[in-house]
Amino acid sequence: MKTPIRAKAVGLLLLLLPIIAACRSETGQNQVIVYTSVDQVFSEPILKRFEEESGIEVLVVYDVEAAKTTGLVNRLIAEMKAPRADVWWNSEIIQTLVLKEKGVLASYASPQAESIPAIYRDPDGYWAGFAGRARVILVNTDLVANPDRIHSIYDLLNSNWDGELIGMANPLFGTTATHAASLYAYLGPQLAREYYEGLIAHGVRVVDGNSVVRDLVANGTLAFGITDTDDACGAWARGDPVAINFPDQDDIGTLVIPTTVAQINEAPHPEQARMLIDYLLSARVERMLVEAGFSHIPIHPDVEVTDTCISTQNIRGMAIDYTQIYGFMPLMQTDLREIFLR
Amino acid sequence: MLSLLKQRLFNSRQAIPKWIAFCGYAMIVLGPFLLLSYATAHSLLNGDAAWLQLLIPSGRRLLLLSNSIGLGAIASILAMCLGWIGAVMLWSSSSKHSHSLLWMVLPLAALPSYIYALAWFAIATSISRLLGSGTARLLQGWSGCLWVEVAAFSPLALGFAWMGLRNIDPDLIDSSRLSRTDFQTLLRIILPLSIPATLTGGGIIFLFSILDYGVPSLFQVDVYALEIFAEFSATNSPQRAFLLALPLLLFAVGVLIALLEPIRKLTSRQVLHRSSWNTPPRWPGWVANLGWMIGIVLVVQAVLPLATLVVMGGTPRQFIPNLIQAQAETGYSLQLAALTSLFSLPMALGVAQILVHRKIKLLWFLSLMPVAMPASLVGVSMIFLFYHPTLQRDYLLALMPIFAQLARFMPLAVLILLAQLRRTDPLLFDAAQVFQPSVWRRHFQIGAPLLAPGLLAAAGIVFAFSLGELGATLMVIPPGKSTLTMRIYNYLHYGASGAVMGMSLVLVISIFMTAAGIATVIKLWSRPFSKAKTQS
Repeated sequence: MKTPIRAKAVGLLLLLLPIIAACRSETGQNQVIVYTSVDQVFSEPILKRFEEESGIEVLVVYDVEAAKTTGLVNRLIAEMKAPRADVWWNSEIIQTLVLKEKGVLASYASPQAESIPAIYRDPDGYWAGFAGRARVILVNTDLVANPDRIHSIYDLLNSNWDGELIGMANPLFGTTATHAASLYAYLGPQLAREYYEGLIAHGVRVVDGNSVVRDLVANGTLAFGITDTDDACGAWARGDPVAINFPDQDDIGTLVIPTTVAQINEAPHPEQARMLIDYLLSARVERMLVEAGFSHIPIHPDVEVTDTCISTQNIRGMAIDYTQIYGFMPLMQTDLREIFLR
Repeated sequence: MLSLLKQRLFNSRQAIPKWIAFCGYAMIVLGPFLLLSYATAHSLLNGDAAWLQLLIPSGRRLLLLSNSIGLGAIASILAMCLGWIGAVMLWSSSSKHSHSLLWMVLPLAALPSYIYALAWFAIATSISRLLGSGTARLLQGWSGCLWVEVAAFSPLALGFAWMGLRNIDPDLIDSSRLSRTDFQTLLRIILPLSIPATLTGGGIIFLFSILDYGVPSLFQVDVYALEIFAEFSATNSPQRAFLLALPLLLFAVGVLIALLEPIRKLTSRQVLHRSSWNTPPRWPGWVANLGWMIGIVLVVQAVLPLATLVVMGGTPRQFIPNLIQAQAETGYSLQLAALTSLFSLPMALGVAQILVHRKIKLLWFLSLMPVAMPASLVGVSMIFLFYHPTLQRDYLLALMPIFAQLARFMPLAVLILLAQLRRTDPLLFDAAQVFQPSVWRRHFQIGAPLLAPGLLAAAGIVFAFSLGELGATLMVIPPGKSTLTMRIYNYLHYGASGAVMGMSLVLVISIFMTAAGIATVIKLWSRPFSKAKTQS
C-alpha cells in the first residue's frame, strides 16, 4: 500500500519543525550579547530591566562555577577571531585582566565610570569595577562561643582548633585564587607559600567552592571558614547560626573584589554594548546589586549598604593594586598546585 | 562479467549512504580531537617544546594519575559487581515485576553524578543531625566519593550486565542444569559468558569515572582530571590542557583497545527471546541472601536520592514555581536533546552498518574514541572547528550545542545499533533487497521496523545523556539560551537547595518520561513479532 504524498509531507514537516525552531536566527541589529559569570539569580533581573527600559534585546550566556573558571573566559579567547559577545560582565577581576592581556577587550571610557575611584578602573578604559565583594570569615555561633575572636586569616592555622573544623574553597579557582595571589603580592612568595603549607599541615578542609564553605559552616560541619560576603550574608539571611567577621582589620586588611565590566574587541553591536556598560556602571544598578545581597562593598560614593548582615563602614581593604595581584597568579598557581593537588 | 560489474556497482551505490554517514560522524566526533592535536603540534613546532614535559606524569602528577586510575578501577569494579549480581537476581526471578524494576532503575544512569552527590550530602546532613556529626564523616574522602560514584554508575552497570545475561543461549543453561547445581551453572556457564558485557560496562564506567573531577573534588579526593582543569584555568590554553590530558587519554585509549574485543563479542550475539529460567533457580542460602542484600543496596542507592529530591524540591509550593521559572530552559533542553538523538540515528546507524561486518580494530577504535575525551576540550575544539569567520552562520552556531552533544554521546548510539544489527536476521534485509526495489521504501518499510527497538533505545540513551550534559554545551551554547542543567549548576552556587532539588526533579521526570515512552513503543512494536513467533 502506497503512503499518500500528503501524509509523507506532513511527517517530514513534523520532523523538521523542531529543527527549524532550533535553527531560528536569534541575531538582529537592536540587541546586545553579554557573557556573564555573575550568578544568574542576581544578573538576570538587572539585564531584564535594561531590556525593558532600553528596548534593546539582551541575549545572555551565563557561566557556572562547576566549570572552574574554564568556561566563558576560554570561550571568549577561542572566539577572538570572530567575536560573538559584546559585553563581558565578570563577578571578579582577575579573569578580566587575563582577557585584557589576551587582546579580547576593547577600550571604552564610560562616562559612568568617572565617579569610580581610580583603583577600580583600568587607566586605559579596558574595564571598570563596581559592586564589590570582600573575603570574610564565616563562624558558626553554635560551635564557637565568642565568634569575634576569629578575626584573622591566621586563625585558620590556630592549633587550638581541629583543622577538620576549618574550611576554605580550593585556592586554585575563583575568588579564593584571587585571594591567594593577593597574599603572594602582599606578604611575598615565601611567607604566602608557608601560610598555605601551614593550612595543609593543619589539616584544614579544602572544599569545592565558597558556597560549600558557607553550607558546611551553616550546618555545623565546620566551626568556621573563609568565604565571600555574598555567600556569608546568604547564610545569615536564611537564619543560620552564623557570625561574619572581616579578617585582619588592624593589619593587612581584607581583599575587596569588584565586579568588572568590559566591552569585547570588535563586538558585533558596539553601540548597544556601550549603552549596556553605561547602565551596568550606574549607581542605580550597583544599588540593585547591594539590595539583592550580591554586593556589600559598593564602589559608587552615593550608594549605601542597606543589608544589616554586616557593617561595611570603615572596612579596611588590602592596600594592593589588582595588576600586582594578577602578576603573582602564575607563581601562586604553580606553588598551590604542588601544595594542594597531590 | 557485465552482471558482476553491475552487482559491484549496485553494492557500492548501496554503501555510499553508509560512508556519507561515517564521514559526518568522523567530522563531528573526531574533528575536535584531530583539530586539537593539530593545534598542539603546531604550538610545539613553533617553539613551545618545553610543553612536552607536560606529557610525562612524574612526581605529584603521577600520584594524581594513580589516584584517578585507582578511583576509576575501584568504582567500576564495585559498580559492576553490584550491577551483575542485581541483574542475575532480576533475570532469574520469576516475578513479573522484575522487568518493571529494571526499567525503573535504568533511566537513573543518565542522571548527572553531581546530583547524586548533592542528594547524598543532604541525606548525610540529616543523619548527622539525628545521630551526631561523626556519621557525616563516613561520607567524606575516598569512602564518600566511592559511595556516590558507585551509586551513580550502578544503573549503567545493571544495564550492561542485563544485556550480557540476555545474550546467553538458554539451551546452554538448560543443559548445564541437567548435570550441575544452579550455583555451579552460575559460576561455570553464566559468569564466563557474561564477561564481555561485564568488561564493556566496567570499561565505560572506568572512563566516565577518570574523566570526572566534580564528584572527587566535592569529597576532597585529588584526581588527574582536576589537574587538567587547573592547568586550563591557569593558562587558558587548550593545547596545554590537551597535552596534560594526554597521559590520561592514552590510558583511556589503552582501556578502549582492550575493550574492543569484548564490545565486538557483546554486540555479535543473538538474543533469543526464550526465557532462560522456566524452572526458577535454587541458589544456596548465602547466595540468595547476598542477592537480596545487594538488591536492597541498589534500591536504596536509587530510591533515597530520588526521595530526597522529592522531599526537598517536590512540594507543590516549591516545584511549581521552579517549573514555571525554568520552563524556557526545560523546553530548550528537551529540544536540544531530541534533535541530538534524532541527528545521531542516521550517522550512528551508518557507522554501525560499516562496523558490523568489519574487524578492523582501527576503525572500531576511531569510532569509539570520543568516549575518552574530556567534555570541556570537546567544547573548545568545537569552537576552533566551527568559529572560522567563513563559517559564521547563525544556523550553524545554533546547531553547535547539538554537534557538541553528538560528539560526546554518538558512540553510545553506535554501540546499541551494532548490537541491534547483530541481532537482526540478515536474510530479512537480503529478501528486502530482492523484493523491494525502491531504496526509500526498503529503508522505511522494512529496515526501520526491523531495527526499531535498537533505534529507539539509541535515541533514548543519547536523549537522556544530552539532557544532563554541561561541560561541552556551556562552551558553545548560543547567546540567550540556557539548558536546565546549566540553570541547576548556576543555582547550586547561589545555595538555593530547594530550587536545585526541584529543577533536578524536573530533569529526572523528563528522563523517566522518555524511558517510559521508549519502553512502551518497544513493547507495542515487538508485540506483533512475539505473536508471530508464538504462532510459528
